[in-house]
Order: sequence, then C-alpha cells, then structure tokens
Amino acid sequence: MPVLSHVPNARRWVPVTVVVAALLAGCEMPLALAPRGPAAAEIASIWWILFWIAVPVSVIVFSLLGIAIVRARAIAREQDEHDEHDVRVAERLRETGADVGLPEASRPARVSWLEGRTTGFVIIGGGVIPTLILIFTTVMTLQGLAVFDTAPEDVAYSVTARGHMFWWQFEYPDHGVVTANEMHVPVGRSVRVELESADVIHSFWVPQLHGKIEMIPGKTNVIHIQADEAGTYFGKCAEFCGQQHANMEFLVIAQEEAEFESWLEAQAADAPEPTDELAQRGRDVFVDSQCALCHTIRGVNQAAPGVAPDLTHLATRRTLAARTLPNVRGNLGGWILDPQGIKPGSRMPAVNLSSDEFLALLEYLDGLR
Amino acid sequence: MSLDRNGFLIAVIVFLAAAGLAVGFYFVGTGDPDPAPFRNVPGDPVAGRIALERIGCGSCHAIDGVRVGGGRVGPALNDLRQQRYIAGRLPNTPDNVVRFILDPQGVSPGSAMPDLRVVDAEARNMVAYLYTLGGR
Repeated sequence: MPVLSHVPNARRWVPVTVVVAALLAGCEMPLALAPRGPAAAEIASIWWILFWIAVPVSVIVFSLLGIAIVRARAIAREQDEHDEHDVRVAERLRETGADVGLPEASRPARVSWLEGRTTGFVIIGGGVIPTLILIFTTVMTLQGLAVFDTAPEDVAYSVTARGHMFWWQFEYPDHGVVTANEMHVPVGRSVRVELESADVIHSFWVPQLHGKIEMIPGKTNVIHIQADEAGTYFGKCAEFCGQQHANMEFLVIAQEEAEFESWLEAQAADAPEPTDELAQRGRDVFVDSQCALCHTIRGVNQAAPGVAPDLTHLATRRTLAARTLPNVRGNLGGWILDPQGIKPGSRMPAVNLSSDEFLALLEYLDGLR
Repeated sequence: MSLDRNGFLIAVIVFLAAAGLAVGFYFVGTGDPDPAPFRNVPGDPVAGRIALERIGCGSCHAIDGVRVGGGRVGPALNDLRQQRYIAGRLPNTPDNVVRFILDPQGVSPGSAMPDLRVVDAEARNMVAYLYTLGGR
C-alpha cells in the first residue's frame, strides 16, 4: 500500500473505509443531482447550497442537544450524592445530639457560561440566525427559479406534451408528428414544451433535465428543456393520478441534431405498407376490430384524437404502455391480449380476437417501423 | 432506569429482527431458483431465465423468477415438468418443448402462441430453466 503509507495511522482507517465504501456502493446519486441540462443544474445547485447550510446547522443543534443530555445527567447524579450526604449528616446529628447545625450550601453552585444569558441565546440561536438563513435561502431559491420563467433566446423546437391516465402523448405540431411515451430532443438546443392534461392533474418530471411541472387540465404550462449530452433520460409522472400512476413513465432521448431531424422526418411519414400477406391481413384486423376506434395509424385510419397512443411508428419505440414493458414482440403480444393483467386500471380493454387474427395483428403492429 | 434499558433492548431486537426479515425477503424475493439443471436437459438455465424475460414470455405465461408481465394469457409454466403433454399434442420432453417454441404454428396449428423468432440455443436454455421449476 504505497499510497497509504504516507498517511499516519492509515491502517486503522482501512476497515472503516472498506465498510463505508461497501455501504455507499449500494447507493446511487439521485438523478436530480446528476443534472444534464441548465434547468436541472440550477435545481441541483440550490439543493447543494441548502445541503451545506443544513450540515453545520444539524451538527451544531445535535451537539447542543448532546451536551444538554450529558450535563443534565451529571447534575442529577451530583444532586443525588449531595442528598445522600445531607441525610447522613442529619442521621449523625440525631445520634450524637450535638448541635453542629446543618451544613450550609451543601449543593455546589454550578456556574455556566450561559448563566444570565439564556434569553439572548434563545433569541439569537432560535430566532435571528434561522430568520437570516430562511431569508437567504428564500431569495436564493426564488432567484434560481426565476430562470425558468424567462424563455431562452434560441428556442429550436416546440413540443406539446399531454398527460393521460396513464401515458404520455408527445406532439411536434410544426412537423406533423404525434408519438407516445418517448420524446426526442436535439442535444444542446432549447426545446419549448407545452404541458397539458387530458384528464386529471399529472406532473411532468425528467429529473436530469428539469424540475417537476404540473400538467393541469384546462391550463397550459410552458417549460424549456435542454439536454447537454446525448442519451436516454428517464421521466415519470410526479403527481399521484390514479391506479397506474406508478407505471406512468416515459423516456426523453437526446440525439445529435441531424439524427433528431431524420427521426422527425421518419415519424412524420405515414405508416409503412405491410409487405407480406400475414401483415396485410393484420392491417385489416386492426381496421375491422375495436383497435381502430381509439388508436390512429396515420395512412390507415383516423381514430378519435387523443384517446389512445398513436401507433403509426409503434415498433420504433423502446417501451410499451408508458414504460411498463420493453417493446419486444413477446410483450407486444401479451399487451394486446391482456392489458388488464399487465397494467390493471389501464384504459386499454382486452380485445377478443381469434388466434389467427391475433397472430396477423401482431405481425402487422410489430412491423410498424 | 432498568425499564429504559429493557425498552432500548427491545427496540434493538425489533430493529434487528426487521432488518433480518428484510434481508431474508430480499434473497427469497429475488427467487433465483436452484440453477442446477434438471437431468437430461442440455442448456444453461441461468441464461434461460434471462432470455425468457428479454423475449417477453412473462407477458402471457406465469413463470416463477421471470419478473416482467401479467402472465394470464397462456398456461402458467411453473409445473411444466410435471405435464404429460405440451401444446395439447406432443409428449412432454425437452426436445418437444424446444420444437414448440421454435415453431408454434407448425407444432400446433391454430395456437395463439406467436413465433418469437427464438434461436435454437436460446430455446434450449429457456427449457432448461423451465424444467428447474416446481415439483422437486
């Protein structure tokens, strides 16, 4: 251990370090403290300032509490001893009959540095200092959050995110793209996101990119998000919205701008024509069954808007049912046949299909790239 | 004083018991069953469990240890090893289960089980895992 040999008593700390490291190995930094965009970075820096205020405050308060406990016990013990002493003196007096008088001031006078200053201590420690800290943190937080209300100058794209029980619709109105549960953004560009709700209050939260913002029925909230690194970011509903709130998640995929542009272009296109006979039959099954009443496949049908996810390019998405399942053929089949078994309370009903119809439908939907 | 001490001891014991239970449930809950393959089933059951999860078998079949899915569409596979027939038509042997996974429509025309484009080695691993389940 050449490095450790420079540190005095290094060996003594080895087991401690090992134990602490083992404990910390189980931890992961909360996503909100690993920001990848300016808005989340602002929130993280506020969090860290509050944390570093809280650390000394906690240390001081708990130390005072500890001191108070220890001192109170010491005083109680001394008092007991002196009480016993007084009793012994009184007994001896009774035995001898001698009139020596009671000892005066058998209790020690304990002089504390706080003696006579307790009121001032409480006013300063319990009033003045907390007030100053609260004023500072309030101003700091409001200043930090004010950043969110000002639109950046170069907003590149606009997305409408609409919360549904229990999934997300993402619409790029300037590009004719509607998709679900997966939002794509270009790296390093500011994206305007309009937040709406189709039913109850949801909350749009991508911890690494922005704070939680409510999606309120009848009101449009606007945020600007920017991802500074390419990657897949986890998002979820942060406002309890019903039975499947926990399975209401989504992904934000940040891509280089050129890649993002080609994604937009591909998503704006109509659904691909099925190439083989089975998939063609699957398209007929889709149109003739209940599926087509709620789900739109652009180029094939137009369902009532905004009831269920647009399936035009379903097979390009990474997950199904708002990140309940990975989007693989097996899961897609199970989801079509038994949505209530997989996500009880989801708005999707099971559809009764013969096995032939089901296999054709699966073949078709699995090919919607 | 002694009451305080007893109270403290009880709290410590309750805490340790709860922690012990939590650790216990953690290991029981992950439920990685005995990975020893059932005899005469070639294949890696550990890789098989992962494949069953990745391919999405759990969306239709209840399978112990496969965490994803609802498992109510097709039969539960936890006692597959005890069944005499599979797919309603073939004697239950590992090879026949592999055949059924690789070509469900060929083995059992009209079955709703889709061809999930599983490759042979993967199917063998999956069967090896399924045969570790149930009725020891």
